[in-house]
Amino acid sequence: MILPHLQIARAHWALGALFLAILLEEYVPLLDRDGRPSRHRSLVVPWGLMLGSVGVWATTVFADNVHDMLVHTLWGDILFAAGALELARRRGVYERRWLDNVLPLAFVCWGSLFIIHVFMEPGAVGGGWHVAMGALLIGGGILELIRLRHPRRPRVPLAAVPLAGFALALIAIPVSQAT
Amino acid sequence: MAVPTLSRGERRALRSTLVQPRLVVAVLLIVGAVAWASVRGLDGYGLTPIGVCYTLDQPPVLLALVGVWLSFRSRAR
Repeated sequence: MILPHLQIARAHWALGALFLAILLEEYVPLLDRDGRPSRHRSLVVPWGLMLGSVGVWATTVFADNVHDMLVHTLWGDILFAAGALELARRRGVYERRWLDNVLPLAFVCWGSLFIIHVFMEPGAVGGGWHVAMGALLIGGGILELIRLRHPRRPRVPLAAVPLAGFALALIAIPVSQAT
Repeated sequence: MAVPTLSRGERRALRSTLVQPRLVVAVLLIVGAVAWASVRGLDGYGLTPIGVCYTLDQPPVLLALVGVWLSFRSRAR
């Protein structure tokens, strides 16, 4: 069963909106009544990641070529693993320093898979957009890894900018494909 | 007449009430969604369950939903 373009676009819009909600929840600070950023460990983030993984895995069933099947399966795996580790950390059942790196490393892996996707199928429609979106994810992940090692962290992480750009591209670009 | 002055903590509390970053982003998203919808237009797919899903699963509507959700999450806890 192969889905028409409009249905594929709908899936991308929904996943883009989910990703946007996750990153805004994680990186846009919530100020407490004293005006200080409150430390929050929202469970929305891990559950959102795992919900997204189900959506990405579904693409494996509907994809019409092996590249899409393989890459979407790996995206789903990374989303689920990142969500599970974040859930364990935020529930306090598994506390390790290296877990701070889970989300940024997941962004770098997703971005790399975007670019690998283009290498596997160079003639595919939207190859340039895939590379740009992969670069945004990799850039966001690297900026966040740098921020985690910086003693004075800015209130709003710079990584939020490329990551929001990626989410908006995921919502907007399939519009042109579908219409 | 003495002019009431706010302490540093009070000024900070007032600022956080007025300028909650999440609320700013939420308003930007909703304004962007309205602008996008007015340019692109929205389609209606009826009131059946799948029709409602399709109606909601349009880029401007999704952006607005994220904005509304973020404004809900911007309340200080």
